[in-house]
Amino acid sequence: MSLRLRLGLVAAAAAGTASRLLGRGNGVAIAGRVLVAVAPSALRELAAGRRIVLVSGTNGKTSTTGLLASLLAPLGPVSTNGTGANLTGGIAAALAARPRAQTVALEVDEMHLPLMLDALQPQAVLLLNLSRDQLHRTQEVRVIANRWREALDRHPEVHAIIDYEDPFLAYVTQAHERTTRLGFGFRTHLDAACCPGCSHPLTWQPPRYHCAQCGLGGRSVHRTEQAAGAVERNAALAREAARWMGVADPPVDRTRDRVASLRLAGRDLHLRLVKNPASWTEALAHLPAGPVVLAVNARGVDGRDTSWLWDVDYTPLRGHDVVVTGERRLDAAYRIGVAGVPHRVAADLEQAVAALPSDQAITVLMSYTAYIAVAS
Amino acid sequence: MTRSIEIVVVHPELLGTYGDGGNAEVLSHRARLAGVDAVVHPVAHTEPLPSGADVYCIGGGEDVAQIACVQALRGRGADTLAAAMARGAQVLAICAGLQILGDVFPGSRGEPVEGLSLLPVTTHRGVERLIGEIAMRSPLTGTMLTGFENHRGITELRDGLQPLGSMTLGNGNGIGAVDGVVTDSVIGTYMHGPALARNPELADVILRRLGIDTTAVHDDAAVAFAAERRAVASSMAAQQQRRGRRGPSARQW
Ligand SMILES: [Zn+2]
Repeated sequence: MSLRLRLGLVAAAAAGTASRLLGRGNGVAIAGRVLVAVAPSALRELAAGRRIVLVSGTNGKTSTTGLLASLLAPLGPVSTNGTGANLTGGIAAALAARPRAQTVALEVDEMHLPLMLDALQPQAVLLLNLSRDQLHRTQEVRVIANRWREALDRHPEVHAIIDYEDPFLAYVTQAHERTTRLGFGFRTHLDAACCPGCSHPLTWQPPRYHCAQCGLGGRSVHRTEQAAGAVERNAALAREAARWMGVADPPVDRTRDRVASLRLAGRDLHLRLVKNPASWTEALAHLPAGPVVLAVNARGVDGRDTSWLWDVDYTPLRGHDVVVTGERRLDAAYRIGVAGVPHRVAADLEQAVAALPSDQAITVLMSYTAYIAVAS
Repeated sequence: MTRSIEIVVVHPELLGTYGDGGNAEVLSHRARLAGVDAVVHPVAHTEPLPSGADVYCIGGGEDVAQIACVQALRGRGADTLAAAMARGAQVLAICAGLQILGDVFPGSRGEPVEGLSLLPVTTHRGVERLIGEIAMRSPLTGTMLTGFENHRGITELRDGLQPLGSMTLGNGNGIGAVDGVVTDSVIGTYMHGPALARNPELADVILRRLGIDTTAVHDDAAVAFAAERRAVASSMAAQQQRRGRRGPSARQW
């Protein structure tokens, strides 16, 4: 370990403690930022000699990385950024926290993935999905796909594990020899009307999408897994990554996708973060029985526009007791009304909960800013 | 219900990125409230455009999808739309949909791409992407219309073509402080996605042009939603005025 890195680690620990004492979160990201500032080569040094898997994608990064870390446990101690601190600071802090753990599973922000591929020299990269996240930034899906593809071009030695049913990931790894392609039996993709590679309209016909112009989608997959939804897909991808890292028979485990529980006014609430059309569609398709609250905001990272509400199928809500709340509750209420879903509107979460019968747990589907306001 | 209208959604797999399908849903919802049945018919770019529909909804999308759409419509599709416009059918053209009805629009790198030339309209690429809430006073409805814009097109209307409204917030066409276009058979706008959801009176203009009496249509949820968005747009416009800031349109183009 270099002197500079040792100095950096001391400074980072101090900053992390100070941040915790000041009540500014758990200090992980701050500690990491200080570390990288004091020792710019910290990431490379901390990564040296370790076996690393990076996990990235638009949806499900945190829960999938958590699952992967637990699946890798048979190989020995695992270093991971379990708090979802997926930028440079959080990643440096995670590596520094358990420097002797030889196996590493790291969640990486989509825009940071190329940088981390260069800095960490990982063994494998697990790519879950790519779709529009902040909703007025559709163009960026293509931008990210191109950056990922360029980064993999620079690192032919890295093994990629992908969901081949996502045309963007198929495009990212189109020329990448070391790729394991999983299939799940067919799904559609809201942002892939046209081929990510050549812009020709894609043909979407089960069991496969296909580009008639450049052939994207034409490869056979290495394995087809049964998956009812994104949670199962991501779990299958995590198992594949664990297998590739040397775990003989990674167990099937149902993981939770950013779900938190909360007691409010004597009621059990199951909170679920839903941040884009793909995750709303996913959450609605797997709704447990019982009443449902929809909390829709449109600020900052939610995206300021609510047009996407019309891209989601709300028929799974029929038969549930539904209350709509959040800052954009009138947008959502009108939309689900047109979809023929009876509902009430409430000014805030407390009133939404009070409007529902008291004998059942309530599922709350929430935009990011609404979720953060109550779940953290 | 004795009467039924047919609403064609043009190439939703290409031009439907921002909830554009909502416009057909709102039209049929309000038609039913007016006692008229509605059939929504999504038509893919690989299929011929039906010639007998009452409304054709053309949505917004990425430039690559927009070019694929216009390529599919060239020739027979454009003829079908021209004939529909001539017989009084209604075309709702949103964002990229508005651009392709004109003579020329910008491709992925800003290069000019030939449109369908159904309207004397030209679009070129602006300096920056225009994103945010917009509002306008519309002589067509006599009300304030509100929406969200997200585009990089500067759209010029020629030959005395009338816009949909005069901007009170945001950019719209990006020139002349107006948004969109209105003819007897076309309503075009940069209010992207489900523009009719926030502006039920605009949906009713389309229905009335088809001879549907909308006076008995009451939908409290639609009224409350539209009123809230108008209030938000007004306060945003007032805030900008207090800061002495004019819209980027006034500064840049
Ligand atoms: Zn292609």
